[in-house]
Amino acid sequence: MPWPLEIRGLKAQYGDKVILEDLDLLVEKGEILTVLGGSGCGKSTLLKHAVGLMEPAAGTVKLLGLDLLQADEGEKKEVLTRTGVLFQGGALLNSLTIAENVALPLEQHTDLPGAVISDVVRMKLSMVGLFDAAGLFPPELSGGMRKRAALARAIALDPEILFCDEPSAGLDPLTAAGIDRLIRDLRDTLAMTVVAVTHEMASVKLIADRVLMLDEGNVLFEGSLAEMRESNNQAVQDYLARKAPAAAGGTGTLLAALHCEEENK
Amino acid sequence: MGEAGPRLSFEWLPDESRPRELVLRGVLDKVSVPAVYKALRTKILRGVSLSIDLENVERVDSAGIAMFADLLRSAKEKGCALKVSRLSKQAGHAFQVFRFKSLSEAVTRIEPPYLERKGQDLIEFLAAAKELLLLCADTFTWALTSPFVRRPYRKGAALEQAVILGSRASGIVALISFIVGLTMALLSATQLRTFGANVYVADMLALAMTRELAPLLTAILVAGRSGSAVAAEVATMKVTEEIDALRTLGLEPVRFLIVPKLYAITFTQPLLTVISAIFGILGGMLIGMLLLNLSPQTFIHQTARALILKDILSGLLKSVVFGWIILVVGAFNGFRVSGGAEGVGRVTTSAVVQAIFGVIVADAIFSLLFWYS
Ligand SMILES: Nc1ncnc2c1ncn2[C@@H]1O[C@H](COP(=O)(O)OP(=O)(O)OP(=O)(O)O)[C@@H](O)[C@H]1O
Ligand SMILES: [Mg+2]
Repeated sequence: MPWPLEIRGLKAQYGDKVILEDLDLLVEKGEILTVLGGSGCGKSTLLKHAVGLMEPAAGTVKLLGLDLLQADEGEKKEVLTRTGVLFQGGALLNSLTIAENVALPLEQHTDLPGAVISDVVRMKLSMVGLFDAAGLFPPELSGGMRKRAALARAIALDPEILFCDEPSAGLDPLTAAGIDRLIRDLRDTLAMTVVAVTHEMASVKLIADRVLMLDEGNVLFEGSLAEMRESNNQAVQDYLARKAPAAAGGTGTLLAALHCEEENK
Repeated sequence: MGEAGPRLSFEWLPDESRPRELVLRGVLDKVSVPAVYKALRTKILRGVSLSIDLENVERVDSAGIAMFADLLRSAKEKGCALKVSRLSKQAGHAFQVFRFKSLSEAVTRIEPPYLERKGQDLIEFLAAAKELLLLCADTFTWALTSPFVRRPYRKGAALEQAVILGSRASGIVALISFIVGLTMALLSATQLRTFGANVYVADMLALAMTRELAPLLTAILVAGRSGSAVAAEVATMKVTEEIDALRTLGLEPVRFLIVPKLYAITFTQPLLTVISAIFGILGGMLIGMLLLNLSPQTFIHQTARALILKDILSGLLKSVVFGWIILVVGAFNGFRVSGGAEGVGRVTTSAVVQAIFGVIVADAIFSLLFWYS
């Protein structure tokens, strides 16, 4: 039984700029892994490598046991139909309605009759609370609605592994909790493996079996949430405490450089 | 004593001690900064050390703080000192809120990117050429195999595209061809009339339109209209990650987006070219009637005699190739986009320019081939 996701020695870069360095990650079947880390630290980049959209500068990525960059078209397609991806910006096709977006993978990759497809679509939309938006086009939705529609599309084929880039960002706490519940339920019923990028500690608490925290291209922490709380790494604790990093130089470095003898009274 | 608008005054203390002392009063913000900045910078560039009193400043905003960062940088370069002697409470706060992460960030000068890489242009050009060839190969392979694969992509997409690429362009193609035909006839009418060879206007137009002008005019219009649209569509989809999304859904973007358009344009381009030729000849006929005493019957009869099947076929063949060039160049530019909305605009423009260039080069090659055959 291969790992659903197996990343070894991954180095990611844009041009000459290295984003991730020597990253190892194994994700177990049926596990929910949340990826945390500061804005711009490379979480979305990691997901893009995981699903074969970017070529690693070094190292290997195996998705459901297959190295997508080595595989032929048929194998690749087969693995991708068992994979769901929710992009950070939703990435719904703007020329299709919400329902057509969700139906697309079903039409392309299954032999289900049209009537069943449309029922699956309506069910998935209902699960994310968008039953009434089926006929709208993506630009007609709010940001949070687009996110949810994209999630419906990502789970259209009941994938074995689901990648979510900030599934609950921009949602109110109630809707966000609903999405978290949905992700958990899917995992429980289908033994779906989930890799979710998130910033919401509330969400991490609710869904995470394991947490991966990135910082400046490296893994800062890996383990359960309980272990994370116990960690004696300062950056991890600051993240949990939502504490802004101390301002360097205390009173403002510029002022210090201007040699102000008499400081703020 | 100086004034920077009604809200800020600055006063140089009289004694010529070093550093020169300066007292600011009033509001140091984005409105008053330009004048103060100029005055202080002039001093610093002369190598004068300054000590500035901010005790009496009511309010400092981020522009005021940024000014100090820049002045400090200049002072360092000149080797003179810049000090703040006293601070008002608000100014002290402002220095803490509007801060750089570190002093080095504050005083680093951002160098404008310079054009260092001429040698890279060639490499980039070759890489782009390779990409273009790969895209061509992809497009045509998918176009040939798609109909035979079990599940066709998006039923009706080709028809939908044919409407977009073809029927909506027919009006403008007809109109412009009519005007060009009219102009051509007008130009030659004067000459032909002196020879009493009026009726040959029809021959001239029949030849020029079918063999050369109709395919070219149509291609230029379609490049401007649809080539740009294809580039913009693909580029926008790339920017919004829709292309990535298609890939993760196991759908090949070229097959999904470009191939239906290829089918469509293969039919619409010759069709539009026929429309163009007909309307061009009609334009000539109008001139013939009005200025050359040619009855429509004579004109049509003469045109029919002048039309050669080979010319018509070669015109249609050309038009198909032009359509392909427009489409592939548009798609290529779309996939090549980088950056956001601005990048979309850039590739759209270059799609049109390159497509017209490609069409004209191809036309020249065709002319050579037909010359020898
Ligand atoms: N297409 C690109 N070209 C060049 N650099 C990029 C590109 N995309 C991202 N980057 C850079 O890669 C780094 C990581 O980006 P990424 O999108 O992975 O961050 P992230 O962790 O997902 O951040 P966020 O939480 O804000 O979404 C950033 O510094 C960004 O500037
Ligand atoms: Mg991201």
